[in-house]
Amino acid sequence: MHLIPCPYCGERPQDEFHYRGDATVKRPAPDAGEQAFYDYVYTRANPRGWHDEWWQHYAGCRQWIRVRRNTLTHAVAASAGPADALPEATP
Amino acid sequence: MSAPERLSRFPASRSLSGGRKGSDALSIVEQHAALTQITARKGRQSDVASIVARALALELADPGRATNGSGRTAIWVQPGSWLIRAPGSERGELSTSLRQSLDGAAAVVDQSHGRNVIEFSGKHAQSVLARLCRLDLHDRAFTPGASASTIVGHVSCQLYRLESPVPSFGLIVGSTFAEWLLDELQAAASSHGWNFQPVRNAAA
Repeated sequence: MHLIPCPYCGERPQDEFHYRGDATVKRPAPDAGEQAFYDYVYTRANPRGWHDEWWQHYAGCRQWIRVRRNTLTHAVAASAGPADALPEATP
Repeated sequence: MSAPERLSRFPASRSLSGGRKGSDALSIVEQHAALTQITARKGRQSDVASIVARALALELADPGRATNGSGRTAIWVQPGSWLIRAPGSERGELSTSLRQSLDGAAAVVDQSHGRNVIEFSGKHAQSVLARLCRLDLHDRAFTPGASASTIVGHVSCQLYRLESPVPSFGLIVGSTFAEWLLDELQAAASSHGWNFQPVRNAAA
């Protein structure tokens, strides 16, 4: 059983969560152009190692949270509420 | 002659029992409750807490907890949101009076017909629930007053531990899932035996 630490509920099994995508992409300025918006919507890196992700605790507190997960080992280093930033340094 | 008012969610109108015969049987009791969910508007959480404390003499619970006061229970469900459980006689009136006293500080939604309350208790309640649910329900980890929205028997459920000498849990589940959850609880408890008590329907 893989546990994800929810900042509101504590450690909970992974099947209470849905993966909701890459939390590192930023919406470009309205006049940034077509290519910038194409990249924002479709282009994703597939990093091997630490990655900041959106997860939704759909079967718990229903909140969207940020999770820093290692895509290689599945280790979770940190999690934070949607308005809070994850710590700067990755272990 | 008018038809009797149906209060029970379940087709059975009398107590049932099943599984192994023995003195360790688990008890499954359907509860007739009034349920109202209140969700604080942005920045109004402390107003909501003080209004509810004044109106119902009930402290709103911290995250992951449920609190009792004046025969009612406040169960934390998500940041800024609580489910208030009161006796079934307060159906309708609970949400009306809360909506009036909160006066826009929170969204008030009556869930009395949307959710069902089942109480599950017995010496082996923790080990039987562990067959349906992935939380750690040990006395040290999930103490009386602890509460969690989680998955029990594959359905979303609000699970909380009641104050009681025998391990007892309250399960609040969407009412269309209640029969499913009852089946799951009965199957999980059959190794010790179970007794089920539905809400008695009012006489015509």
